[in-house]
Amino acid sequence: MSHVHAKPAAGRYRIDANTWLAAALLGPVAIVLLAIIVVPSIDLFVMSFTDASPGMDTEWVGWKNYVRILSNPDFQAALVRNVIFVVTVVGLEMLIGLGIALLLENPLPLRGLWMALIVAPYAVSPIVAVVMWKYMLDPNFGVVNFMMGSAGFPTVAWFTSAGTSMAGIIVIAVWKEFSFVTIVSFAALKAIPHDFVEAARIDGAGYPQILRFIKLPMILPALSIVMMFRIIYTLREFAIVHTTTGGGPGTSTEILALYLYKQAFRYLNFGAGAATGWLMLLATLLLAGFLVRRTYRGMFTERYR
Amino acid sequence: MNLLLRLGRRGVLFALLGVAVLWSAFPIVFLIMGSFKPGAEIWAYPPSLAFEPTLASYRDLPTLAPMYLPNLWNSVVVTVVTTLATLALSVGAAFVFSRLRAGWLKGPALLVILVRMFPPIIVIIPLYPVFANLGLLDTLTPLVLAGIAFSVSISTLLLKTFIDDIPIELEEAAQIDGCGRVEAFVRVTLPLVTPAIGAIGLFVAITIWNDYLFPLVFTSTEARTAPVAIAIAINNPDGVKWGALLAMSTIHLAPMLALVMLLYRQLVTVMTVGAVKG
Repeated sequence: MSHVHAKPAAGRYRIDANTWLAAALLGPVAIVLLAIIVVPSIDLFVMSFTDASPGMDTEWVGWKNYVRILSNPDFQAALVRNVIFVVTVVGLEMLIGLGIALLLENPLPLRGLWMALIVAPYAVSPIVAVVMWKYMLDPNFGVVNFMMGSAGFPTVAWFTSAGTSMAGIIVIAVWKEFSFVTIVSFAALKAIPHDFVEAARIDGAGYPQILRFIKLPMILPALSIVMMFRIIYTLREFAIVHTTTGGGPGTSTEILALYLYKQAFRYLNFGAGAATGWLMLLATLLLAGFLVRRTYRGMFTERYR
Repeated sequence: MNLLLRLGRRGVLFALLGVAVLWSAFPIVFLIMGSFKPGAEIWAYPPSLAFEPTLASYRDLPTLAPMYLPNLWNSVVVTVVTTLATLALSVGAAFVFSRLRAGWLKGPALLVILVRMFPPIIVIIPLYPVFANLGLLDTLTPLVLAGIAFSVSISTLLLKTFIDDIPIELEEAAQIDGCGRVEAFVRVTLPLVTPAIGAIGLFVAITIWNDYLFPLVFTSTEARTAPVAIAIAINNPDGVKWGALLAMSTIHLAPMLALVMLLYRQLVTVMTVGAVKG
């Protein structure tokens, strides 16, 4: 590509007017990111090796926090619950999100209106989503139990027992975010060249075959990316659980973010909270590695070299 | 026969679409309706869909939740300030990443891409004592700072992909006509990406407006925002005042819902780009 800025290679890091311009524009961003995210994360790492607690003298305790939380039944239970939560929520989001995208893909009157209504939950705060669903899932007077009862199903005492509380939280989490999967799947489906589908149809393929052998394989890259994002973001879920059950009944819905919050701000055990936080960050970075590399490569098109 | 089959398939399609729209929109509609129900109707059984609408729940709000309007105002201030600051910083950073070339830019690029993945919850423990020592707890400052930090990277990456789509040749032509580097960008490219900036702004504003974690940790009374006030109201140990709660929720929901309904097309583009390109 011919380019005005492709200067003769007189040293890679030559300082010129552009360097100052770039530094001036990136400086404030770098300061905010370092001060609010990077330095605190390092601080958190150091803290995870101490018995830090607000207002107390801090001592170095080595790996004790990690050993303690990893061998603590409450932490182990929160970890297992978190894995189950992520797998269920993301699994349902993918199924529902993709299913709705396949519906919307058909020629429909007023498609814009349907799309807007399906994206609507994205505008809703997790807290307001909790209000909505607590209103609808009330065990005695809720509209969901009324509908289930009318349809002949047994009614459910949501948010009173362990299993049904988790189920309720999963419903709220899925409702809040499934539309992200719908949007990306829909865009990927629309990008499939029409000829591919048409050729398969002429060859006698029915809808199931077209879906199985053409559409799904072609949108698989987009689906995997959206799934990775959803896993990373579901892993840190806090707001919905904190307001719906606060981790209860007992600790039956306590997941990692809630465990961290309680350790730090209820028991003032910053060391254990910090160790939990670092394990969460580690898991996130391991899962995000692929996405980070992909975006990083995309930043450096041929014009950079 | 063929016609019947096609009509049947069409019927199934619309039925399924109806279920999908009911799933996504009914909870919102039912909440908004609930906020206009007279007290006795809120928990009517069977649940009522037809009723005499009343503003009673809204009228009672100042007595039942006197702090809600100040809390809501805090939300407005934090959202507006954070969104504008994030956009201002992102325009500069996206310009650099899209238009300037230097080997050392790889470092800042990696920083921006990496921190986007960090879970916000991990910074609350180390930042809490810092903000406490600076006397900033229960002010809006920590909310704005943390909000910017966790929005600016995604906002920069999104904006960069939109600027990349504008041919740099347009700016070069302006530079030949005597514009400076920055002036050419501001005059030629910036107006072309204004719709994208608006959509990214909405994307950021939704995140800040709906945020719960930072206001929960960094504020107590004076700087409390609406989501925390709603969360406290739903867990009221003296019994939940549902009329007030539904009205508070509807008020919080309305502005973002209206914006998303109006701008869903642009928002969808931004969300798709964020997943597929960003």
